[in-house]
Amino acid sequence: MMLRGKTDNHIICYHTQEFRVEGVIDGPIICISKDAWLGKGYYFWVDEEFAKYWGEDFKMSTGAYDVYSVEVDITDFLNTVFNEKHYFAFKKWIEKASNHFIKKNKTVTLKRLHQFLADNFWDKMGIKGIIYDDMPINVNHKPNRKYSVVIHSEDKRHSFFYYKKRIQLVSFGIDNISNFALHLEEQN
Amino acid sequence: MLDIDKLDKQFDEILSSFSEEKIQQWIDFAEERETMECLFNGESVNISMEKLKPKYVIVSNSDALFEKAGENNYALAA
Repeated sequence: MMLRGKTDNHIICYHTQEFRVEGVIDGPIICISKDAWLGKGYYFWVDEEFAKYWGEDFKMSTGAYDVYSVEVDITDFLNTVFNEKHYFAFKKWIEKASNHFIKKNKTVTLKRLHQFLADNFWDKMGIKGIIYDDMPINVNHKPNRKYSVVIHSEDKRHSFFYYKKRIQLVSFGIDNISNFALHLEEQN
Repeated sequence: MLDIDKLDKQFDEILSSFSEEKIQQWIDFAEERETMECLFNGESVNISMEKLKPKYVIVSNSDALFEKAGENNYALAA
């Protein structure tokens, strides 16, 4: 169950950044990476566990990472993880937008698709963010992680059972984010 | 609370408004914006200018010049 904040429409999420000697940050940092699954926005993890894994894998450039907690008002979010209607609408929209590019002989990239949706759809439709079940990942194949994989080796092959959702949340704006605070400091 | 049925119709309306030309316009805009963002973020960006090609258009022929010169056509000799 997602942790609730001050109302049922507020959930508590986590934001991971490099540990900074100069001090903590006072707000989440926007992600502008072209590889961001859901485009430009403020990204959070719904589970603290994944926030820590994200830090271990990608936020160690200063030797340690910090995890911040935050409350997000998800009233106008597409909840593609737990809301069936939202999920099927999202799936259909992604496919329609992608096919529209292909029909017009235009190349579709992840970044282009999300920018197209952000520029022309989400804001007009009143959608402030998306809750999304990200791909399971264990980039460094760390053996101590049992979060989403179980090694199954009856037939001497390693296969994986991704039984946990790896839920991410992107907020396109900062308005629905509150109570940003340091949660775990200088982790490694 | 999001009304998905209403949003679904709205999505289709917006999408169908994107003709090939309009999509291309948006792609051009997005690419230019990306370049500008790179510039503002301090990334190095190669700027290339299209070479200007001279375009020759005949605005008058020799007969017309002689007509203009009238009896003083020796003036054109130099």
